[in-house]
Amino acid sequence: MTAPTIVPPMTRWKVTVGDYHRMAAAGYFAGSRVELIEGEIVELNALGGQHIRCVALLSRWLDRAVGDDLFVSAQSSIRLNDRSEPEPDIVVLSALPEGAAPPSPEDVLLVVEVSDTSLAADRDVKAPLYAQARIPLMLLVDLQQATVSLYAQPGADGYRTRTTYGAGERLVFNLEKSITIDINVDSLFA
Amino acid sequence: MAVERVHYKFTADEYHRMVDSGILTEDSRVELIEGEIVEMSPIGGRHARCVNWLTKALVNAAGDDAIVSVQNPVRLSDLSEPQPDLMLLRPRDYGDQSPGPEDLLLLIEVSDTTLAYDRTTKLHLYARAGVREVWIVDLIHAVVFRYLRPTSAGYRESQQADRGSTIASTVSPVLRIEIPISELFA
Repeated sequence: MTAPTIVPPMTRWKVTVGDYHRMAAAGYFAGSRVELIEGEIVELNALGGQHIRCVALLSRWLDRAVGDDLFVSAQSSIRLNDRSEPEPDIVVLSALPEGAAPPSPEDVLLVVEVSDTSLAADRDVKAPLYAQARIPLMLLVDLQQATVSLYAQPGADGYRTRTTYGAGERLVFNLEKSITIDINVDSLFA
Repeated sequence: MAVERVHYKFTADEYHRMVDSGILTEDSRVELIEGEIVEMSPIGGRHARCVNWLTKALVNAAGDDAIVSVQNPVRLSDLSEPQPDLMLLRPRDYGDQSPGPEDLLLLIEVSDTTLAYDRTTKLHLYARAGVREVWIVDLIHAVVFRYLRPTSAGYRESQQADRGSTIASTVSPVLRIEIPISELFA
């Protein structure tokens, strides 16, 4: 038997980031990995080995490249606005959060999403949200196709440019002008 | 956007704690369906008229043998607490608890814009919870669907009553509920 779905025109009740955090503090979501996307609390997929490997390697290379100037976090959510607080796989921050709230978009230079089954959601839902929040760069790693796409030039309608790199190619781009990231694409995939 | 992700599922207890802590208020027009908090549609004039008319008819028929509950919650499972338009309940003191499926003699949904949702998601939910008899009043096509013999896979029996006929409930042996269909539609 298939599980019932919420069919249109029904709409889900929407949560604010304030209520989302009050609920988390009150013990909701214990044992679940969730993020807040446009007022809806959605579950993060269970992580497979390839995903974990890719995130670990990318985190190491990014961390080495940025040195002491920037911060690389593989467990950071970002407060994009009052209705969205996603948790990308990796973020590169220009400053650490001062208070209780997660980093705001002004302090985020790069988000990385590593996708296997979640590719469509990462590309069609989360990338536009990051672009609307004016996060300068996004990397989308597609584990199934063994490609990595660099999204740049954020705007209200999404990122204006996307460049996809595949087997045998090097992904090279700059963070904050002075820092060059240079990644051998093949090494991301086991 | 057609991308569908798995949403966090709330239990009925968490849902109630959200009311206690003010995240949801008494004014929030929501119901808990399979762990998801869903907004309820605004009630239009035809819908209100139909619910009012049915309320009067059911109250008259029920006397002291049943309680008529209008747009109130019913706790169907750990993950579902919908608010049907009308319920006929076994007469007892419910205290501060929502009634459960075993308390339900008859459940009625009045549908206009929500017909597809009521006939799929919600009807399956009622069948799985063992709600013995459900009526769905379809305001758009001026018909009433009656569903009996709930199973985990849906209702075994359904009937359709058109304008000009009557619909009767047989779940309670002591109640005589017979509604002329044409009265439901303005």
